[in-house]
Amino acid sequence: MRKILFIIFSLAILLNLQTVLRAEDLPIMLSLDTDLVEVGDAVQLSLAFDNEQEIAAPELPEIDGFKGQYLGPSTMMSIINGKASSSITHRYILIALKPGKFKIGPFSFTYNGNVYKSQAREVEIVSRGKLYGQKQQSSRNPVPAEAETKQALEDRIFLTLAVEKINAYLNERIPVTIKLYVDQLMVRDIQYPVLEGQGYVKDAFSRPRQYKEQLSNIVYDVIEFNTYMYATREGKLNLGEAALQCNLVIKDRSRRRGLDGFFDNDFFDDSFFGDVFGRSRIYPLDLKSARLTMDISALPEQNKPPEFNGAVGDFRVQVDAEPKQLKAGDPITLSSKITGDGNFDSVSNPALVSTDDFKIYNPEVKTDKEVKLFEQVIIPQSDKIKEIPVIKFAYFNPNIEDYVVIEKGPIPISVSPSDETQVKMIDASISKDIKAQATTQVLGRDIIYIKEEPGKWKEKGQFLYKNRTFVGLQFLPLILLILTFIVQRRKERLDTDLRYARKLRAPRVARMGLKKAKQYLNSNKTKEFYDIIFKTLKEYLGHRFARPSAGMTSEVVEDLIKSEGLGQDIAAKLKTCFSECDIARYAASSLKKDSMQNSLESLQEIIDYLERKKR
Amino acid sequence: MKKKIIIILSLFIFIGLSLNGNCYCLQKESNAAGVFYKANALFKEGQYEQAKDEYESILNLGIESGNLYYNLGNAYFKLGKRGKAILNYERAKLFMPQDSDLKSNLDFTRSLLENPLVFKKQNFIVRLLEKISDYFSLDGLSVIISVLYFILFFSIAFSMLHRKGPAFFKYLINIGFILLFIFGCVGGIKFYRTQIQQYALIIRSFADCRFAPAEDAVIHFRVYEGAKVNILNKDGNWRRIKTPDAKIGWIKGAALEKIISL
Repeated sequence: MRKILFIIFSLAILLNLQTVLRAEDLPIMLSLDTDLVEVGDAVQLSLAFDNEQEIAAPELPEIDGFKGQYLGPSTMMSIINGKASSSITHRYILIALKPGKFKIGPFSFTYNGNVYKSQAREVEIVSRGKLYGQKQQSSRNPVPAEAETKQALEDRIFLTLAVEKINAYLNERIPVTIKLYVDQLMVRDIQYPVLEGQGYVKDAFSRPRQYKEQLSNIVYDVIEFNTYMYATREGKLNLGEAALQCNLVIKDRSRRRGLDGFFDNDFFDDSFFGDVFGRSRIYPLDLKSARLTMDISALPEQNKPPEFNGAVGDFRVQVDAEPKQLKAGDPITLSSKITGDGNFDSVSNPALVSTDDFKIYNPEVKTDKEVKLFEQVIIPQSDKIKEIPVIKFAYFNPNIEDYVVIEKGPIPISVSPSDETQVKMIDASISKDIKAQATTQVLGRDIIYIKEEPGKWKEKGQFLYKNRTFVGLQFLPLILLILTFIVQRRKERLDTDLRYARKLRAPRVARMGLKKAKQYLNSNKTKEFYDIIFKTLKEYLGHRFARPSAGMTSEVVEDLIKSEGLGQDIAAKLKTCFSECDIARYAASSLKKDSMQNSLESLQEIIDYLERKKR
Repeated sequence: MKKKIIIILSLFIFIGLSLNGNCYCLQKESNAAGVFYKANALFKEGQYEQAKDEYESILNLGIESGNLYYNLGNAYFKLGKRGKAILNYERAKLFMPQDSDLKSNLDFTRSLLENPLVFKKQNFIVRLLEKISDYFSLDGLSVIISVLYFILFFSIAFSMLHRKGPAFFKYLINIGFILLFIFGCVGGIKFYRTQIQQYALIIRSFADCRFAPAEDAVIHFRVYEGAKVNILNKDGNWRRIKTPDAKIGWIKGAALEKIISL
């Protein structure tokens, strides 16, 4: 009894102990591949979970001094002394951002109700060049020692946004410059920048420029993007921030020391070899510039000329008209070419001061870089016109902050009376009565009357190409063409490959022969029966083995069967069949209906067997 | 036996359903025809507003016809709404592009516009293909292309089977191929212009096009009633349009109406 109580007591203690152990936090093995690193380099962080295989990658909290990115998991299973254990390790890459001593961890995660905790590790980040010496820096850019004070990654790659002027007018063309500064980092896959903000329109970016620029005694590699913006609202305008995406190439420290000088020469390195041999890692960067606030003024009302149509900039105008000698009613093409600097979208056609006696059409506009051409058709209505009136073009020049009016013309032209007018004059001279009659008759034009019938009705938005039957029908010719192709190929083979053709013909010959033989068997015509059996057998075998039918004797067939490796029993059956046919030819009366039936069956068997073997 | 019964029953159900659908369509068409004649009578009495309403009520039934749009265009013309008149003539043109009455009314209405349209000059081939495509409706072109395609494939199949056959088939293949290519291009242009591009007509007397989709944005240019524009994209109630002379700007959606509402 005591023994039982002791066992129960021991078991209770053991179970309690297990519960206590379960309540404790489960450990995570935190490891780093190094605890000393330079700014811009990476540290690999591994978090290993024992006895787990499917635990999801924990999300890392913000780590001071580092920027993290998940690399991927690796699982491990081991069997020691027949006992299996497994673990999963999640790996992260941490980019060193600024110098100093920083603590990584402790981390705590909950999974399936279990709490996992890791220990903490300290990592020291040193300035650029301190860990591996100044060899690389000195070899590329002879930067003074003050440059070492600039340490953080944000100082080594950044974006700036600048405009030529902060105070501008509505619609004024303002150059915008976005610069990407990079200090001794490998960057690739640089995207065009995106400019945020409202109340303006901008042109597309021109081809970026690449050069070096010294800034606070540091020589940066610079990529410059240029465009123009035009404010569309007056008042305060927030421009930016400008955003740019690129990939930072980070070299693997473990191999860096030996190969440093050799592979780190190119600035915007495409890292082809680095990627292939696993010496570098890609880290996506989203760079953002500071925001700019601009002050946009409306165009002044003072001195605004009546011809002003919204053009802002500094322009020059050339005007020409062709032809200059014409008949009344003939068209003249008036060309106005506007060149200069400014917002060409806001430039409209220079206006004719007077449009009397001219029929004016809307101009055709052609825009090119820094040039806008208006080609307008004007038609003189009378032969009394001697010139195209003055053409005025007004614009606001933001440089002088005043309106400018350019005047061109008048352009002298020679207009002769039109043919139509001459005819009218001749008509008028013929008869005054007719003229009077013509003037009293009022001619005009109106629309043609409505349709009496509704025409063919159709479901709204239904077109034939959407009709399934119609679409399905279009496959028919294609199917037909494919079938024709197959038939043609087969026909060609039958024409050229005699052996194949005869092989195909063999069963048909056999079928016909057997049918006739059955008829003779039923009518008990022994001689005819065996004749057809003999004929069918020879013809079938001839076609089957692609030999002349006349030469098909039991000996020849036996040899052929042997050479094709067919069964010997079939050879025996064939021999019997041939001999029965021979007997029938000389002594037909000796063979009864049973024998005929047997012969027919054995012929059927022979043919079936040879057809099976053919396939 | 069971199989046969199932097939016969399925056939009956299929025929029944088809007839039911056809009956429904026929009923709708008969109603529409009644309204059409009523609208014509109103038009003849000079009651253009009521006639227009009756014509438009037919469109609400979900069916349309070239003559319906033509008459609706006439009703709008008589009401002095030239933009809407041109819009309906353009819609009618999709059904009966060769109708001379329609062409005459469309040209006449356009000639009355205060600001005639200026078109960007296209190259000769594009102009020729566009002219041919204007001559046919999309359904008409679908039938032509389909027939040419059938002829071409049948000729190829025949000449494959009869290599030493008459040379006529070889000529037929060559001609069929050239015609199919030409009509394929024409059909492609027609399809692009009617189904992909979104053309619209300005239905207000004029509308201001701005640089940005905002009330306070600077005015870029002005478009007038009856102008045919291409809608490039939209932003809320604003539409970005391109005029025939290649000017681009933002305009309020209420100032225009699409020719085809897909």
